[in-house]
Amino acid sequence: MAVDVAALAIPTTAEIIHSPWSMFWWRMRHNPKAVIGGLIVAFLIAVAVLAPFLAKKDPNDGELADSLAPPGQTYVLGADKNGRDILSRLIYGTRTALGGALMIVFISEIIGVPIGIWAAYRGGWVDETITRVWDMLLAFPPLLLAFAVVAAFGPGLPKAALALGILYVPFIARVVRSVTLVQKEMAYTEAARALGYGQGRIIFRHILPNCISPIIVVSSIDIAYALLDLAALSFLGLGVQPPTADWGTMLSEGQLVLLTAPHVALAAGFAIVVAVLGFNLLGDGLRDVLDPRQAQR
Amino acid sequence: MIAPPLLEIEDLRISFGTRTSDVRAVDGVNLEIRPGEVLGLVGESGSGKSVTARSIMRLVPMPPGKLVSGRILFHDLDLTSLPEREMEDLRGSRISMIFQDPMTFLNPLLTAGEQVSEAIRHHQGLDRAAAREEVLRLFREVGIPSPELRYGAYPHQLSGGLRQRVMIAIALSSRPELLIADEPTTALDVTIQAQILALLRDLQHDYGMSILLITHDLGVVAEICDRVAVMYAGRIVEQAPINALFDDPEHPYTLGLMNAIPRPDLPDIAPQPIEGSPPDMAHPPLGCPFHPRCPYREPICFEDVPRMREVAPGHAAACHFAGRKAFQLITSTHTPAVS
Repeated sequence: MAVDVAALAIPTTAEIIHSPWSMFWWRMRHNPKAVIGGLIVAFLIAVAVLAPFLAKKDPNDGELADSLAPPGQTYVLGADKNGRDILSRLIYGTRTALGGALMIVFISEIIGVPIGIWAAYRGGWVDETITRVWDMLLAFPPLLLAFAVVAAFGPGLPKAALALGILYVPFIARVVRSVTLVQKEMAYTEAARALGYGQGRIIFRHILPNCISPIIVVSSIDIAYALLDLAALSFLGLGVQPPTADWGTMLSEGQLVLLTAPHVALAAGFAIVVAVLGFNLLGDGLRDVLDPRQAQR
Repeated sequence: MIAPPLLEIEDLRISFGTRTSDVRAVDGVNLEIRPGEVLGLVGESGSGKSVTARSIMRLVPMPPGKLVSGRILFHDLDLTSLPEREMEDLRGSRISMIFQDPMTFLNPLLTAGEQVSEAIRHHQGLDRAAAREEVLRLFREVGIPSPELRYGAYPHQLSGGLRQRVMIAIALSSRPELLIADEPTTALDVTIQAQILALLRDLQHDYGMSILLITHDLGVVAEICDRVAVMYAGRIVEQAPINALFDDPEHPYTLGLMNAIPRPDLPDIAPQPIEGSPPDMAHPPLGCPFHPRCPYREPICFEDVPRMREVAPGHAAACHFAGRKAFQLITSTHTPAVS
């Protein structure tokens, strides 16, 4: 080959090439919201995973004699109406809350991401039809629709999660559609077509990876909403069923004795607040970190 | 003896539908590219040169674009009616394309090496390790220094010239018969431009491929093209071997383009812009599309559309006065009289 590299006057010195991951971690560590949110979320995940080791008592085994015992030596956060240790129920409740919320967001993504991409990529009447359907879904208060689903199919965590998961589809699909619309018009998509790549390869290898960061941000914020909505359904007796330990049901039980034994409801309420705050902060932090325009400020 | 053309465009017409009217972006283009030649396609923005090039690859979005008429023959395949599946097999393997701005035309999330490797694996079915070797070989061939280091670099970590070299490596990876280069040097500064053009010329020679080079820069054309087609308002207005075009432009528009080039050899002469602006293609002028801006126009130009006429072997122009009037390149401060 006749190209003389030395004559090209291009610097040949080795540059330090940062991997995208190291950049990501550096930005994460320097964003207070991401740090606090991340720590809270990490703590909750650890509690959920290590629940059997952290809880000193069986969350479902109560001493009726200790009904509504105040916080103290035996029960760090007191006992509920059935004499069960509230701290242990709170710890095990983390599993139901996180598991349920993750299930909801996972279901919404499995359905929402392909729908959003498809709508944007195909455009035309496909796009019109899909967006009209989810506009309709968005017009209903989510809890109202969840009531309807649970009323039709009966209560319980899997059904409630499925119902909420489907209701969350528009939230994720909307975001995926809008970022796909942008990516679809990007020059590299045209270049990929000029290279003879098929639709599937262009969508999954070239467009989808460029949509990942908004998906991550929306997911973590959706988890916060899912936690709240699931707790609300359980509070109303439509979600998690007793005796399974869950923050929503604990809140509901505590509400009955709010004036005599406020610690029952307070503990569960506090847990919900912390978890929702954690995921929201993490989502906000991730958005700052993953969106270069925001990070430049 | 002229070899049969590699690519033949016949009476190509493409329009874009808008709410109110049809814009005729390409209006009856006839063009052929012979094996092993570099054909320059020159014109202003909006003259239809990019649409012509993209229609070869069938990358013009339809709708809103619409193929009104025409055939594009590649060997004996008609690219306008080829099934999409077969078109995908052609793209990037027998016909490749490089683009103006290699920053936006490379995927920001994949490293330079991965993008070349993906193309190689897709078209040649090599495994990862063999593809990597091939990528490094290509990187060396297109003059990318320290190829191992650049393999893992993301597009934003490379300079404009290096990015264009990566694009060229991708385009060449399957040894295409035809390379379409859409303004490949426009986004680069002048010294890098010259390097990239020299590289293209060398590679064209080594690979024996044909190049369709789209540009608005006659300087670029002079550097590497064998033949030139000048486009104006969706039509080819002049086609000639490179020397004939520069020595003896037979269309006033070509002359206008040449007069607009700064002449370092003639410092007294200021570049002379072409008066007016290209026509609104939703409402093209009657007669010769160039007549509103033409200093040599006569009554016939307002009515009759000039056809391509051969004035010398291989040299044709779509002007009523091609070969009959002497169009003067400005060599003094005297400007041609406007009739």
